[in-house]
Formats: sequence, structure tokens, C-alpha cells
Amino acid sequence: MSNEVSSAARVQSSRDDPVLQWVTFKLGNETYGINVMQVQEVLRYTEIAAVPGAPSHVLGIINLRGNVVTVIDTRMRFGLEPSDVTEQTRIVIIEAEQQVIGILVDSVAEVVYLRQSEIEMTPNVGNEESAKFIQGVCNRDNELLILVDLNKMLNEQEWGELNF
Amino acid sequence: MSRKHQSISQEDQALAGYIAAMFGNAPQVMAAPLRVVEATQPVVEETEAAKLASVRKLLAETVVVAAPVEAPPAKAPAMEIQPVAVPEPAPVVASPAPRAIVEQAPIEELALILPPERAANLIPEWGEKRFQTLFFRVGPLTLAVPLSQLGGIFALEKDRITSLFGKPKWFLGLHPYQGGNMQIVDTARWVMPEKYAEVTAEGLELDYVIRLGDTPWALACTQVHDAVTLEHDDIRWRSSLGRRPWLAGVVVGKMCALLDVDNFIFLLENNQFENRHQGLPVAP
Repeated sequence: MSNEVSSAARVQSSRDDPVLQWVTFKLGNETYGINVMQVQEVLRYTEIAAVPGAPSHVLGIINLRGNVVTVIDTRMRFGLEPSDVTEQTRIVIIEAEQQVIGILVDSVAEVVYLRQSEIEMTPNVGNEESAKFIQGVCNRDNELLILVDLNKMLNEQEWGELNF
Repeated sequence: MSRKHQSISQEDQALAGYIAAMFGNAPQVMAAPLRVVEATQPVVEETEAAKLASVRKLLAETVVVAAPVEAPPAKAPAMEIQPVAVPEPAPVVASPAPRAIVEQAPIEELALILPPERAANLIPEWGEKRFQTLFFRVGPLTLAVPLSQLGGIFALEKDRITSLFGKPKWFLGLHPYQGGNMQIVDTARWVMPEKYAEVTAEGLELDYVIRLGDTPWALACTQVHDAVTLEHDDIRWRSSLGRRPWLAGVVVGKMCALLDVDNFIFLLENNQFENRHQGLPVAP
């Protein structure tokens, strides 16, 4: 938490250059960020029940205090190689497109504060759908943070298919 | 046939395949990485003559006649090279190639790739007179680039490259650079995707990047060689743009491709890789 405080102290928001908070997580060697306002909670890995006939990017469902939550295979969605579940594996419960879903990540790191002006666009190359999930990148502490637009992680039809 | 003659013949084959592939002609298989061969004078002369004949033939095949189009004023970005010292330029001794007859490429063929005003520019402005050129290698491929079009040469720290999901394989990722990021291109995959497996057969140690102009784009390469001053006639200039508008011509003395950096940048910035390679086999 001291990290958060020091980051907040360093970064001052202004109307022209608002400061946004991002929850960072790891997938492989890269660090990703998602808007903190969309994160509801972070869970330790728990058994995920497979759903027959579900799309390939859906790992299955979990029971979250009586609610059924669909968990997305984030690695597959990002076109990354699969990886084993470890002690650090987490399910991040997020809200996007008026739905609550879980995304499986290798680990969750911290909450960081970034000015809007610090966010850089990425080159518009290739035709892959998944490239649209990237909202921008930001250099921070000698590390490049890849900011993900959760709303674009699935298209309209895919969001519609998540209700089991 | 002596071993030297055999080696030179293999080198010629490799070069012919390389140049042919560059110009999008007959699909020839690229030979093994080039070897340095000590050759006697008559053999060298014979080989260079053969190389020239081969290049002329290949270039002649790419000539397409069309109505002339007025060329727009070309831009000449300022050069700023700092971190890696480039050797002093030395004069090139090469057989002067006959100046290519400049004929206009068919605009409609290039409509998907370059806008007409850019497609009309067959010989870049910097190529109209003497210019300095840097040679670099990507595995077995030697490429040349005009120094005036470079933004710098940098050591590549591979562990500092951040790859972005959803991007094409030729885009290696982002590399921090002076507070921003360079966008690193896997040069071999971009330049010759159909020959990528052969170019990388012995592995590629990408240790350097060459920044294109003042853009964030940078080409990854294995070695940076010497810089030399070339005359206009040292180059066999393209006579049409074909599928590779980034190829300005061939440095005859070194038998390597000379990059048209402005067009290269244009293709990168306009996401034209896929258009450019439509219908061509691309490495997995």
C-alpha cells in the first residue's frame, strides 16, 4: 500500500491531464494494466467448472458467493501460449459491458497511477482482432505497461454468449 | 572446377536468388549463408560480369511502361546519429552500372500500396547525387541504407523488448528509447517473409537496431558494417516499384539491396505489410 501512497503523491491530477488508476497483472514476461474502476475483486485460483459447448476463450464458470461468474482464458484471448496454474495465479473479477466476468492472470501486481498524457498509442499494424484490446502503453519504472481496454476484449456477440 | 570456383558459383546462385526474391521474380531457393572466398582476379571479373548480367536481366523483367507522372518534391529528413560510431566513409570501387531507364510503374497496380505521388518517385532525391550508405546484415542478408535517412544506430537489449499481443510477427515489440519507445521490426520477416526460414536457418542474433529517420520505427539487424560513399551510377536503380516499393535498387559493387527509407516508413505507418504480400507465401 505504501507504493500506492507514494505514487499518488507523485502524480497530481488536473482537468487537462487526469490521473487514472490501473490494476496491473502479469501474463508471461509482460505487465498489463486494467482500469481500476472496472475491477471488483481479485480471487485466488479456484476450481473452474468447464461448460460444454462454451467458446474456446471461456475457461468455465465459478461460484462467487452464489453468483455464477464466467472466467475468460486471458492468455488464449491475447494469443499467448497456455501456462500452468501456480501459487500466484489469480482470477480478477471485472465489470465490463454491464457484465461481471473473471479473467485468469498469472499474477496481480499493484495499483499504479498514470497521467493520461503518459499513455502512448501503439503502432497500428496487422489485422488481428486482439490488437484492438490494447488501449496504449506507458513506461513506468523501467518497465513498459500494456494498458488493456476490457470492453473491447470481446465483441458484442461474444459478450452475449457469456450468459450460461 | 576448383573449390574456389565452386564457392563463387554458389555465392552467385545465392545472390541471384536473393535479388530475384527481392524483385519478386522467379522463385529461386536461396543458398546457404555466403562465405568469404579469396578469388583470383580473372574469376572476380567474370563473377561480377555474371552478377551484373543477372541483375540487369532481373531488373529488365520488372520494367513496365506507362504514362509519365509528374514527380512530387521529395522530402529529405535530417540525419542524427549518435550512440554507435559509424566508420569513416571510404570510396567504393565498383564497376559502374549503366544508368537505368526510368519508366513509370503502373499506378493502378500500386494503388493499394502507395499513393500515386509517391509511386511516381522511382529514384529518391538523395540518390540523384553522391551519397553515404551504411551496410548492415540480417543473418546472411546484406542491406544498404542511405545515412541521410537514418535516425541512429542502437544496441538492442532483447530483454527490454516488450511484445504486444495481436501484432504481426514481424513486429518484435517496443524498446525503450530516450523516454519513448522504438518500434522494432524483424527485418528479415518484413523484407523477405517467403524466405524467412532460410534466412534464419542458422539463428539470428539481433544485436542492433537502425532507426528510420526521425520515426519510432527501427530495423533489427545482426551486424552493422562500414559506411561508404556511393555515386549515383554505383546503384542499379529500380525501374518500377513492383511489390517492394521499399527497394530503391541494388548496390552493384556489393550486390545488396538499397532501401528506400521513405517508402519503407510509409508502408510501416500505413500498415501495408499485408497488402504488399497479398498472394505471396508468408513464413508461419
